Amino acid sequence: MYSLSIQNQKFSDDYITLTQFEAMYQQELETWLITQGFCQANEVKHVKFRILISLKSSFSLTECYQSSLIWKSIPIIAKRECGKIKKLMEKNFGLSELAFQELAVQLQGGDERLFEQIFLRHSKDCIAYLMKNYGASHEDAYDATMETLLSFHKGIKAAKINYGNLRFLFTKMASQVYIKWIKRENLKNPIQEMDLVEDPKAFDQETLQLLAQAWAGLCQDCAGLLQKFYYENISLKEIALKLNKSPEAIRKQKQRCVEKLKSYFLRIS
Amino acid sequence: MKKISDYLDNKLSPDAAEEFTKRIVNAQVDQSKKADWQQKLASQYHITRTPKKNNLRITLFQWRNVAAIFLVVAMAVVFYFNQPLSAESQAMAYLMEQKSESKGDVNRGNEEAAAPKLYGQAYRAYEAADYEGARTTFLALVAENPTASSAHYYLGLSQLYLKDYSQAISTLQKVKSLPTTDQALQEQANWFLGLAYTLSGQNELARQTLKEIIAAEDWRAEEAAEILSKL
Repeated sequence: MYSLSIQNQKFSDDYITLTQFEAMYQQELETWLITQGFCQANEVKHVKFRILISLKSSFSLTECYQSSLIWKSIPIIAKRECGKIKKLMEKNFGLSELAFQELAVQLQGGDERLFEQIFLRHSKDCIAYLMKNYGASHEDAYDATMETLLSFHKGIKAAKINYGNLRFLFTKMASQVYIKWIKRENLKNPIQEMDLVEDPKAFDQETLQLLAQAWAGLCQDCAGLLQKFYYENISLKEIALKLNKSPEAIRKQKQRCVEKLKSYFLRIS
Repeated sequence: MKKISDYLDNKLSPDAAEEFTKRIVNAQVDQSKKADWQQKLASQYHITRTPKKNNLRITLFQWRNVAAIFLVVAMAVVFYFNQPLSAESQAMAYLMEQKSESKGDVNRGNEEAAAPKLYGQAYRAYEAADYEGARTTFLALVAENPTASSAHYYLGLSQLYLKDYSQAISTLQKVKSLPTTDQALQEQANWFLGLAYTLSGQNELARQTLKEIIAAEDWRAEEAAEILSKL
């Protein structure tokens, strides 16, 4: 049994409302959750929040209860809530909701380490899933997984992907990417002459290679500036502020960088 | 590609050019991100786009194939060994059996005194399974002594082991026709003659000879009956 401080006599005789309980014993509850091994320190607020919600569904907010009675219900609720959280974390690559929010913040700030740590690890499972369930070749499964990684990266960064069942969502997205390719291939093969509607935003491999070569010719400042502005959607004003330059100077610099990229592209193509 | 050339030739409107720049920058950053992740997948998780073939990893399907092949081979082996031997194969089996049994166990007869050195050489060659050498020396001996039954007998066996069946038959017939007091030698010569007929495909003569052996209950009569039943 949990060695809860509920057994302490000082609580047992108090008659309080749930609102009072919440105000009085929040810190006590947090400490108890950690010492009883229900959660890590960084998760405790989230677990406590869920326990309090659960308590509110069991007790009236205005009615008075013996505080020991409320405390006695907590271990059961904590166990149930932690079980739910654990299950939810399993569905989300081991991330709690809070950890996912932190990951999103990190990504938005340009720190990709946690994203890579979590999602690259899942690639193997995703490749295996596509091969097993869709008969995809290893190469196709790999490419579809890569494409999905990119979509997830952008989706989380843009707050378009929310916590819930990330594992399912990732695998589903990868499946859709693969099916889309297959459909396109099936369409291509029987009627070669047909003018297929390709993804208008996709560049062919040859163009991408030329682009990579041209990009490699850019200096670090230029590449960084173009990436920030066009890819990360950071305004020129914000960039200027970070670089301690005027927005006008940055705008001109950006224009020069674009011209450089174009000239390199033109030279090699 | 048309749009790229328009873009590079500054033929697009400023807005379209700006939009296109965004596209190419995004494509490039996506590309480099993928390349970076590919590298990390390979180095940290050993996942590459083209998987390394692991020859040791055998799938269930491959195991099934291996099991099926093994079963077919096993059945073929069982079938082969349970299959009754042909008369020819049986004769060859007996001849080989004799070959291993007779090594170092040559019955020299009583002709040796005439040319002890040459006989010694011939028997040594025969014992050493040097049937070419034995044949040459025994031929010399029978030329010297045309009635030497032992020399003819071993010459016939040497020819038989050399698969020179027609010569072996002729020599063994000679042994049978030679006057000798060695009954055992005659019986043995007849048995090998029967084998020589069988091995050379002269089935009628083989039957006849084998029947003689069986009727007289000679040496190897049981084996003769077995070959005869297959002829």
